Amino acid sequence: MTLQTLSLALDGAAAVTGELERVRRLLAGVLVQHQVDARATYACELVLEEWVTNVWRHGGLHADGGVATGVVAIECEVQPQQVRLQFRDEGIAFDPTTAAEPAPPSGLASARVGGLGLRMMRGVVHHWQYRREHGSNLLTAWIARQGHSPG
Amino acid sequence: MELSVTDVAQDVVCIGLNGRLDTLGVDRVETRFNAAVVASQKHALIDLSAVSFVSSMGVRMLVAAARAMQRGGHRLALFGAPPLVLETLENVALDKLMPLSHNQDAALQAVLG
Repeated sequence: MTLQTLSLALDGAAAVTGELERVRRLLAGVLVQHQVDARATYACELVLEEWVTNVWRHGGLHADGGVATGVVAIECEVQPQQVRLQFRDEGIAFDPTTAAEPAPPSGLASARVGGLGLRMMRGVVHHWQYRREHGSNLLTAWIARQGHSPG
Repeated sequence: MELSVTDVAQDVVCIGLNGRLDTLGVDRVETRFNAAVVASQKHALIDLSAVSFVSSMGVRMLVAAARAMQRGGHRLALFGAPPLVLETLENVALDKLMPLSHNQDAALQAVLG
C-alpha cells in the first residue's frame, strides 16, 4: 500500500493547464511504478482532470482580478485491489456523488455540453464518497484495478 | 496534441488527431482543429486512432465543431477510437450525436449517406 500526496495550484487558466499536466504526469508515474493496469490508470487520470477542472471553473475560487486561485490537495493510495484518490479543495460545496445528471442528449442542436465530466467520473469510479469538512470539499474515489474485485 | 489534414474526397476532409484530448491537448489544438474542420466547408472524418485519452473538454470541442458544421449543412463523423477512448465517448452518449465508426470507410459512408 503506497500513499502519495500531491498538490495542484490553481492560478489562472494557463497555469492551471500546466499544473494539471504536471500532476497528471506525477500520478501516472506512481501508477506505473505500482504496475496499475491501463484501464485503472485511464480512470484515475479522468477523475483527476474532471474534478480539478470542475473546481477551477465552478468552485468560486476567484480573486479580485477574476482569476481562480487556490490549491487542490491530492492523495493517491495504491491498494492491492483498487486505487484510492482523495481531493481536498476550498471551493463552493458540491457533492458529485448525489448531483443530478443532465438528461442524455437527443440531438446535436439541443445537446448540452454541461454535466459531461460528472457522467464521465460516474462511469469509471467503483465507489466514491463526499463530505464537507471545515469549509473544504473532500472527495474520495476508489477505482478498481483490473483483475481484482474490490469489496 | 498533433493534427494532420488529408483530403479523402471532393467534399470530405480527414483530420487525424494524435495525443491526449484533455484540457492541455484541447488548449493546444482547438484553434487549428476548428480552422481545419469548420472553416473547410466540407464534411469531416476525425481519425481518433492515435488519441490515447479524452476528457469532457475534448468532447466539448467535438460537439461544438459538429454543431457548427451542421449549421453549414455538413456532417462530422468519428472513427478508429481505441477501446478506452471509445468507452468514454459512449459513456456520454456521443454516438447519439454523431457517427462513431470503427474505420474510415464506415465513417465516409456515414457522412455521405
